[in-house]
Amino acid sequence: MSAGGGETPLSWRNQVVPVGSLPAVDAAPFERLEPRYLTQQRVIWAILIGLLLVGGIVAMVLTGPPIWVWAVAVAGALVLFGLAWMLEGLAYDYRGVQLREHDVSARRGLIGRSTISVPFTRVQHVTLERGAFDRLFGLAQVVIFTAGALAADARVKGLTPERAERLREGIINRSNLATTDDD
Amino acid sequence: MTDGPSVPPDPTLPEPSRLDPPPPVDPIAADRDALREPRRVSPFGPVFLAWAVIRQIGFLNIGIFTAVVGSRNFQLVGLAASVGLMVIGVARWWRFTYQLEPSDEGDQLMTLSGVFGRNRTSVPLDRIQAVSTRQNLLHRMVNLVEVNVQTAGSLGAEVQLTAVRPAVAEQIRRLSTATTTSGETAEAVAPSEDTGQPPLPPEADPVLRRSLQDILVVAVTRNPLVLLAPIPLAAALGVEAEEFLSRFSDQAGEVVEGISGSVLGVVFATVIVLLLSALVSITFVVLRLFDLRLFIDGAGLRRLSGLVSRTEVTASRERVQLVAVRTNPLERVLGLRELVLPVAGGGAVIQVGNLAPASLQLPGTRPEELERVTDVVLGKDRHDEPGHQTSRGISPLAVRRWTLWGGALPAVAAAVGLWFLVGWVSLFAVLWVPLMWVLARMRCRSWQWSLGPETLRIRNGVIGEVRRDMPVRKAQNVVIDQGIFHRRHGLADVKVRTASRVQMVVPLLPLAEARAVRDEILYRAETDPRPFM
Repeated sequence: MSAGGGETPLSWRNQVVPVGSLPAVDAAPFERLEPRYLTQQRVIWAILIGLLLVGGIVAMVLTGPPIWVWAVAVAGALVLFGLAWMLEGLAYDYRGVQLREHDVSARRGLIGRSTISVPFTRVQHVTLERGAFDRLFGLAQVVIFTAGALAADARVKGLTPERAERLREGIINRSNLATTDDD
Repeated sequence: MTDGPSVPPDPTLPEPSRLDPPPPVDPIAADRDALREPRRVSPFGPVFLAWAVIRQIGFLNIGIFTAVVGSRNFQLVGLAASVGLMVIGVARWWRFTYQLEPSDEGDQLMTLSGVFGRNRTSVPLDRIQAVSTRQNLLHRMVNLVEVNVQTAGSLGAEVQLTAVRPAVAEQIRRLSTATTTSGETAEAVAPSEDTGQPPLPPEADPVLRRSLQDILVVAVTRNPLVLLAPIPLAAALGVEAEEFLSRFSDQAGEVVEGISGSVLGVVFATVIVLLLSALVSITFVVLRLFDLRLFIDGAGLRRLSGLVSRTEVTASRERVQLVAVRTNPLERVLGLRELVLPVAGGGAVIQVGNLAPASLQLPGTRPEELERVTDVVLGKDRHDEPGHQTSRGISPLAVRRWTLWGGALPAVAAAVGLWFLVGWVSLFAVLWVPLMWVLARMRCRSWQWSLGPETLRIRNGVIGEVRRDMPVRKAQNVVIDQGIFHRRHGLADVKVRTASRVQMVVPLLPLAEARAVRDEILYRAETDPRPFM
């Protein structure tokens, strides 16, 4: 934004910008998440489906159905897990985070897709979260909050603690810089 | 001058001489000095605090408790409960103090509370988003107000002063509006130097005032059902009540007539119930909106209303995040709009005892008033902004999507569900689809949006209308969303969140256009040095 025009105290002028010349979020690459994150998601699915299968087995032991029901149950669980395995892989390929000079973007989704961009000047606070499963796999999440938000604006999962710390520092530093620039 | 027992006044202050004319006092400095010492809320405070405890427990619970435990020793239990409440009220009142505390980053409004523990809440004055006051009947009897101080962060009010003199609310208001976001204290009349907008002239007259008649009109436009009132009235007058009743009972014996009679009875009863509910809601609208006024002055916007309990909400104009206008069909006919100005941080979330209204809601606004308020919030030169000359539409594929979701899926579900009840007649549910298709077509055609350097505007609606104008710099984040339908057709929704609870959504744009819009909004939000709240 060019500065000029001595009339307003802040010399704030607002010129028309050709939209085609603006830096595009999608022109820059997104950083991928840790491969460990994919493993974590698959393990979580395996546990969920395993619990389901155990429940089914208990029910079958109690009721004693014919043998083909057993086969269907086990095959169903395997198919379900295979599906989850594949879909998580696809979702992992799309997930990513991008840090630019003035904003941070995160994208996610498998069938529906979503990209969120937050300017650093709008960041109110950033938290670093590590749940039990994250700790088990040596992962961490960075959560970004802006003003007036009911919940987190953006949540970047599947980072190593060091990388998460770096991302958090990066966002905090830049948002501080941005605010002091303005004042 | 103090609100109850307080630390004695500072002896170092010089006694004002009777002969000298009083020196010119800076009102802001005076307010600051007035709030320096820790103070308790009014001596009536215990009553209000006890009432708050009752509200917290809930009348239903108290009723159940009384029925179960208190039925035998009613007087004893009642006495114990009252004493307990008094003790709690007095203890809380005694332990709660508020004051203005200086710090490195400007003054902070600080409260100490907690009967056994000690809670300390500090809110820097420049972080205050809205100061609202409320008076219920009890407050009005003793001329006190409840003050809610709200910041951007959480849902409820950060600081609540249960019962103080109105002057204290005024002082906090003045201080918070006079303190800019940089922590410096500015002139009360010219808070807008850094926004590049001319300062607002102080105004004594309200920009907007609703008479009782206006409010009744608003109440009726919200509950058009009440317009049906003449029908049962006419029916009751035309068919004399006795005759009606006697015919009703006579025909009850005959099968066919009996059915028609009972159908009539059911219809009649339904209409009466609907009417009664409409009347009740109209009563509430009148109670809530009575004497609705909006003032605009150097300090910002201030809205007052209420008959029994009075509410007053103040917010500086920078803190208003967008201008939302809703018009339902009836309002459209009457040329009225419902104007909503959402303030940063606000959620209209009801929390007992911590109610903090977060938007300035102004129903029944006339076009010229709307224009005036919008001028103040968005700036006068918004009409010349490039980018709004040609408003853009959304993808025509929206018709397909809306017909599918609003028409085809519910119709099929209804047809299948009703099949077992009414047989083949259920297939008539399919007629819903063409109706929805027509509506979707109209809705899609009515959808308009435009993005200028300063504002993002959306506008849509077939019978009613929804309009939202948001200053682009107030964007907190931008999301590009795609569902399965969007991805099949290369479309995306653009969602822009502000610091208020209201978000802007431009649905079903071609993906490339959506991305370009996102990039432009980000660019504007990142380069604009003006404050967003």
